Amino acid sequence: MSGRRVKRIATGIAAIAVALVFIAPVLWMVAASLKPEAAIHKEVDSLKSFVPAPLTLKNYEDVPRRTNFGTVLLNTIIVVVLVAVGGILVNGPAAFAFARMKFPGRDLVFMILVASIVLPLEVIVIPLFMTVRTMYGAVDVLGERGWTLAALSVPFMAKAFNIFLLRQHFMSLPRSLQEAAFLDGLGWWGVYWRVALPNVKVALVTVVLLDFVIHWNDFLWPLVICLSDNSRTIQLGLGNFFTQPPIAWGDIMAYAVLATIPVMVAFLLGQRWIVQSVAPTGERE
Amino acid sequence: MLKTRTGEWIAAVLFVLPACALIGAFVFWPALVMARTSLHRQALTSPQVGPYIGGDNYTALADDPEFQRAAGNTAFFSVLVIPFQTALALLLAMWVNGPRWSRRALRAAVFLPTTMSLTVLAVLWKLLYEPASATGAGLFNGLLASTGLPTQPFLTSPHQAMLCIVVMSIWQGVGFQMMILLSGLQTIPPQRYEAAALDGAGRLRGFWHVTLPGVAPTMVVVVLITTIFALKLFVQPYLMTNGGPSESTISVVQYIYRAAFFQRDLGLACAVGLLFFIVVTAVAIAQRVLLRRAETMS
Amino acid sequence: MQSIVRAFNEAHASEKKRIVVNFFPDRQYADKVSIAAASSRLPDVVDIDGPYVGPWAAEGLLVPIDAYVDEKMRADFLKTIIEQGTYREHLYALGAFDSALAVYYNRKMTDAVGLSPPEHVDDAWTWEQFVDALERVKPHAAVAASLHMDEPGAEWLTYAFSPLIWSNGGRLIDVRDHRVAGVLDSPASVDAIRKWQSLFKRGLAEATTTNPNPFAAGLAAFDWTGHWMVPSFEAAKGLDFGVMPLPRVGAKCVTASGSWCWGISRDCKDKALAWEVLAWFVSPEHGIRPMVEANGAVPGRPSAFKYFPKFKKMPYRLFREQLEKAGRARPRTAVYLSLTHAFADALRDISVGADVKKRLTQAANEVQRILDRSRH
Repeated sequence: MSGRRVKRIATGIAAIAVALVFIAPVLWMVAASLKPEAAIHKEVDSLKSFVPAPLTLKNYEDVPRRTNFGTVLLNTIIVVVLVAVGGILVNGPAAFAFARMKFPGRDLVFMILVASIVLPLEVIVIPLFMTVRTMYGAVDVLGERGWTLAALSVPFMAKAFNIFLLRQHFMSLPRSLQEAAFLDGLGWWGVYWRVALPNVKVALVTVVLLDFVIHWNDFLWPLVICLSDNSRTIQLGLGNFFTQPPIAWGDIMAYAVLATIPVMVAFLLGQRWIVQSVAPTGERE
Repeated sequence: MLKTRTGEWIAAVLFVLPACALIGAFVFWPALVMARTSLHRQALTSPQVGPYIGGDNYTALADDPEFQRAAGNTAFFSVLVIPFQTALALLLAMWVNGPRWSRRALRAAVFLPTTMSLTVLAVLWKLLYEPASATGAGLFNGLLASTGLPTQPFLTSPHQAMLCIVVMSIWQGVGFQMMILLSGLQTIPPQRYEAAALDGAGRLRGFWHVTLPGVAPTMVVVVLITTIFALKLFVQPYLMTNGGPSESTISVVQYIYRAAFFQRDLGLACAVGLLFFIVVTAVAIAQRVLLRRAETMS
Repeated sequence: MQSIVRAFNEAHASEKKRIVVNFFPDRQYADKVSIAAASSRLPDVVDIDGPYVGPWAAEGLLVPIDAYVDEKMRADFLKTIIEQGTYREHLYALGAFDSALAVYYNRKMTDAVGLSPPEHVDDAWTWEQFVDALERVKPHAAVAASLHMDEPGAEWLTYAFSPLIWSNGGRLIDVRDHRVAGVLDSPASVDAIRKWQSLFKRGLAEATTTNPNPFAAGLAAFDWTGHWMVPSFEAAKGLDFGVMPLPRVGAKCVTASGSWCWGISRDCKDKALAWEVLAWFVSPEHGIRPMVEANGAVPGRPSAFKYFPKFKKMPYRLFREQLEKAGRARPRTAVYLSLTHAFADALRDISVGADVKKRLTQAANEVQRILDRSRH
């Protein structure tokens, strides 16, 4: 065997080892979710831990039986859809205006908005909580669950980062596209909606996916704002189920797997777009 | 008509207004509320703003050993996570930079935990870290015991708990940093390496003179993101240790949460928030300065 | 719950009274009620976890209900329910049911070493008898006593182990004089917690455990836990278990109590009507019967036990007897949440070897600081 061959095999083995470090805990989670509770605890000291045998779906039956999983899942879907749809409706036009229209104070306003990108929610979570709860009056119209879902979504529709990202893509469109549209008699809205927006599909998909992942996975804001178990999101549901006796690891892992699948699917579908559209902005920054 | 200057202005304002109003109401307004509340006494359940008390909330923080521990723990966490995670991310990025399938598989594996929620992973790792006892054990201790190594208390030891959270957090976050650095690496023109090789530079020198300057701007961005991720530590201690044992893992954000909902003192919570705000702003400004320098470097 | 409300609405249909169910925050999120409180929109009748009565009453979120409860009605509640709902001499809340804390034992193991645990509160073991029993069963079990130290959060530890301090004549807080320092770390408290710590030092209990239910698995000889575990023990294959009262550290056996209860909020416009609803929720027939049937707790009123014959037999008989004779509610104070967290954190550290006196003093000072701040 040549030296190069040996080296290639060695790096291959190393790669597998490193990959396992990152995958093994997740594999264990899936295995535990498919095993009877007693087997999880008994096999914890052997590699059988990673083998879902004897196979059972009991844990997956327990989750909807022991918790309001369906409600929580629906809540999370509603929140994520509201954020994504609302996000496109408000961030899209703003990004287009910052990219392609002239108006007094444009650069200043944009700079101020962009400055807020680095500010994590954690910094302002308490004052945001105070601000949002002053709007509790809307509960009369929306009901408790409706109010909570609105409180979970509306504050996050407009996002400076998404405006920034979309603006980069609008700026890269050729101006001739826009001129032609004006000649066709379209107004600004028409140019935006019919011409500009369809040409930044990749960026749109990215923005929607990022919103989806961020808000599907969010824990702190729901923890602060959710009023009752019927208005919770899925992560909060897991955080609560995790401490709810009788504690059963298999059930908890089943809940965790169910909470993970949708976002995993979204990532697999959208990963390519995200990398494509974030990468160029990284250079430009 | 819309093509006139004023028409463009009006249209632009309408385009920009909804987003600006929302960001104003849910980012900038709360920031102002925070500054004001931090100077007042404000009980959690009170509809009215309490009396003005000047810097009382801040002096209370200075005297509070729990806050000092929270700040110290968060600093400790950041000091470990930022360099280790960034260095590991760069190593991995260089390793997986290439089209071969094994590299792409490794890339996907490292990225996997990043796609999962911190909640799920905190819950999972809590179980993995469970201490060994006569009645059971977590996976790590189970495997340690079966290989004859001494079992560890992990999250139940004040000396190990934060390190456990550090390891779990790096494991979770490094994939994201790796991906960003990878895109930075791929912008380095291969000719530069060739030029360096012609000059007789070895691999180490190539790394030092080509790779590092080449990814420097990306690196600055990565460090900024990692720093902010580290400073906002919350979910892991909240779910894995509840700040314990002996408050060895309580973080600043967790302290904010406790000040607001256990002590029921919003003034105190906002005072911490404002200090946190200043730190994040300082980090962001430092990043801008560094970025400018890094760009001239590359 | 929905069915109780439906029954009320049907019974009162002619009077045009209706209950609209708003929200029922659970333990972890009960403090989010501040969202409604801050905009003066609290529901008329609110469901509260026992320990929250203090903070809520102190913050003026609840109104006293003494005026509606006459002597006869008051006498028909477990004294722990009345105690739990009382803040500074006024009654603010009434519960339909209560919880019970007891010590379960694996009969196979206790029989093997010839132990006969007591069945009545008055016969409760002394601490020394309890420790002696644990030493004797230790060889027969993986762990002598399961104390559920893996329970997350603070409330379990405060709930489960405050009775030791109370039994020894100590307190967590002096509510009247607003003192925690010197109270939580008083000699009586320190002594009781030292005895508790000795369980871990002697290897009779595990400070860190992984198995959430070792007793059901037949691994533990004794289990220090609540009534809510009975169904899982009954379902456990091959487990023959008995129940005994908590051992006493001092002269008297004291046990824990407390559960969800109902109060009338500050923002309620028609207090008399709200009381009517509350009275329905805690009435033996309309409230307690369906609720206790659903959740398996201990009925909150003596007159409600007639619906539940199982309270004549063990283990339920003991649950009732304990609450009536030895039950005690956790302290009602504005700083309860800080208190329970500080105390529970201290207990966790003490279980793994921290110095009892030093650690309790640290916790006491921490709460004292918060208490002092909250008072001016």
